[in-house]
Amino acid sequence: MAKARESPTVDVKAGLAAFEEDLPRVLRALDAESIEVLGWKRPSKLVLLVPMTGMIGDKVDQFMLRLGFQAYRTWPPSAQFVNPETGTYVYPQDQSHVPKLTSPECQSHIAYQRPNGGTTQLICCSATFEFYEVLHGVEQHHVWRDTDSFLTTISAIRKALASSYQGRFP
Amino acid sequence: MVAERIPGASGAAGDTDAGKHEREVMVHVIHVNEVEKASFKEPIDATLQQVWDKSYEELKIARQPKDIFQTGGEHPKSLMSYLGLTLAQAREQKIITDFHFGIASETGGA
Repeated sequence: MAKARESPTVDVKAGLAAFEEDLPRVLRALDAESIEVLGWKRPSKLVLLVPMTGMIGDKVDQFMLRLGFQAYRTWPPSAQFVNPETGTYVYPQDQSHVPKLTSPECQSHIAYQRPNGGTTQLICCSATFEFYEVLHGVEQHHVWRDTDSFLTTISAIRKALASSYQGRFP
Repeated sequence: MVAERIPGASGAAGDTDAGKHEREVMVHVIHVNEVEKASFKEPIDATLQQVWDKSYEELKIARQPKDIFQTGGEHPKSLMSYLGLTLAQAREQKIITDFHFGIASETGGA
């Protein structure tokens, strides 16, 4: 069970099993026959790519969210915006592929300091793995529950894009 | 998006004025955290609060203190500031464009 101020533990086997269990449930809930119908891609067993859009007026920006399930569902999925050409995020050259999000529930950082050194892209939201990895403070009622699903993560980020999108990082 | 109407629910037989005389609409709700969904009929003059409340009954899921009622689809928006509006009013004011909703627990991140 996820806990505040505790480093997440990776369990690839359990993560894959939980993802395999949840994916059909999510597709059913979204009335989708396959991930392709939703525009999603699964480049490897533990990775899901989900296109997202941010809008300012009539201007529409496309982004690609990469979810990783190495510690799922004890912990939320890893979530980072990536370069759609490479499927990866390398700072600083890929920072323009990250949307500026300023919602109280979800903010984005292109290079957040890790506790043990180095930086990581952080979608600062209690429904992402990285949020716990950087030992971010969190209210107990926001802590990820092991009954939550990766749809929680997608919904939280989409909601931030819909309500507080401020354009791309330069 | 055109409002989804219940066949036979119109207030006037043979009515062709879509939406004007509808009495009930089909509401679709997804509980994002639990990945459960439900569809049920609601009067067009039901408030968003009433729809939200009924959603828990239909979903058979307990309400959590930090749950949020939001629009459905790919660009979910919180409806917590509009819970007193009826479905009809919310649609007229373009707060909602259809009758697809979501329930999700609040996240923290500030």
